[in-house]
Amino acid sequence: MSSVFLLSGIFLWFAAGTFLSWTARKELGKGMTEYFLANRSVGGVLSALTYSATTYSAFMMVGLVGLTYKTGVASLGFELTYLIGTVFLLALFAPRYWSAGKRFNLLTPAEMLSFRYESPAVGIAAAVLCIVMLIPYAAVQLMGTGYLLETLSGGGISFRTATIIAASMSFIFSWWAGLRSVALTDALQSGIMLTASVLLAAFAGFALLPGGPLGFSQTNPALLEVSWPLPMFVGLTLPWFFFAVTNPQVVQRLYSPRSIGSIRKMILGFSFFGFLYTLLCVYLGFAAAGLVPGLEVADNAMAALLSLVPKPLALIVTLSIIAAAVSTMNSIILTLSSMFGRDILKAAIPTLDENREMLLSKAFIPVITVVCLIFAQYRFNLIAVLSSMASGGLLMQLPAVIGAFFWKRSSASGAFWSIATGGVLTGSLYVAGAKPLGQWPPVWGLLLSATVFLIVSLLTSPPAQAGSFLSSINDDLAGILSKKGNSKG
Amino acid sequence: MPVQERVWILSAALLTAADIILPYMVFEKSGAWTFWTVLTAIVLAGGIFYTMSWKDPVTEAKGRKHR
Repeated sequence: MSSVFLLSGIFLWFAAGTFLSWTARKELGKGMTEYFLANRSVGGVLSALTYSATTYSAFMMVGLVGLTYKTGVASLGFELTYLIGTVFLLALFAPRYWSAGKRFNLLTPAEMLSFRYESPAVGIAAAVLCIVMLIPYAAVQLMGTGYLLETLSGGGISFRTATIIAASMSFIFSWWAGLRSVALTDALQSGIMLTASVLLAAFAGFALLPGGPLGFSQTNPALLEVSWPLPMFVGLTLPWFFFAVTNPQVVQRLYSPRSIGSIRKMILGFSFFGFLYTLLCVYLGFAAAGLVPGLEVADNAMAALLSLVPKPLALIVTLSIIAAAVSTMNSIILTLSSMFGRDILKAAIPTLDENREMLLSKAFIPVITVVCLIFAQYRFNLIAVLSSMASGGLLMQLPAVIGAFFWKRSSASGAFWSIATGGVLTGSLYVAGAKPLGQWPPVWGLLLSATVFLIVSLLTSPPAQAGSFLSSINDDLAGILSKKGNSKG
Repeated sequence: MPVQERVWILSAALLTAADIILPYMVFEKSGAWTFWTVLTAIVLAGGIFYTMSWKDPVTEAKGRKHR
């Protein structure tokens, strides 16, 4: 594909996104809640689309396709297990986060922890963990875009240029109007992601595969066998199963819907988007295995598949992959900047007024974008390790999150030390490449984190207002689950 | 915890266990694709059913002062 053709498509798409950001900016009011949560006024459909675009990154059309190409149907199990975990967890936690956010004017997921445990240290620990774990993950989104454009343009667009383009888009979409801009552009991106995957799967199935859409099952029956060892399946799936309550960029989305009806539409809309998108991406992996067998690097399966389709379709799919990367990255940037302002700066300087907090949080957006860009330029293997470490490391917030909503006896010390010890152990095991007794680092990390949380909580005093927090949330929950509440949605 | 939530958590535990165990014990050679797809469809349908009765609560005063 020529560089001019690729860049023209990217320019058109970028122009459309910029127009949406500009439109969103006209609605922008003042204050942290307005900028980072769109004043808690996002409708259900937009919430579903932004949640979907934030969750599904470039991994789906590159990594998952490659994983399926190489290892078969277990990739489907891995990704669908994530989806069912998310549905289970959102049904339990989304009303609680939403209610806590409205009642106590919470802005970030870590702020919920520091508020519930009455300890800024807990919020700082969670915020630092999130920043450390998510910067490499965001950088990988840039790297994915860089490799893709460099490969498809035959080197005409360099890796560095491609990463600068993607970083600039992420920066503009998040900086200009905060969540209002991110949500609107995410809607555009999720539309492109789904449309492109449907078109490519249809073309591969009906025009390319020799035996028709299901022809791969005769040519590659081994791919339909579950080939992953069980510890690998558990080790990879465990952190993703709890993604919905441990990754701050998606947890923060639970504060912004305008009503419980919008929360419901968000959960259901995301569920169906995720189900369809997962099936399509896995199908493309099977199709690639039938059409371009024998690739040494499985992650090149999508690029190889694109070489077989008409150029306009290849361009749309390429844009959809960049869209997935950018929409994940701009949400991460926005969330981390709000955590920097609220959970670190405000905790360290309680007298900080909202205007300065806003100014410093926004100033963190370009800083974090540049840090991710620099990370991406190194292209060294440690980034891959850090990327897979991200989901495992963030899992260490799980005991503290569950305790916050379900265990009155849980204490600030228990929450702090469970996050700290679990995070350090998981990170160390990943960096050392160690899998004691064959189990993956998140398994050991979560075991330690949960044990520390239970023991330390039992040995220390719970926060004075823990009962009040829980009864407030439970009152709201009773109203949500009761058939006698308001019906506005 | 409301009864609906207890049932939901129990269902989640059982279906998640089935999601991991059955493909490795029953569907290892064939049928895993169909099993995982149907199981996910069941959970999604469960989500529709579970959230069907959700209503907006009558909220009290916002802000932290009430604590």
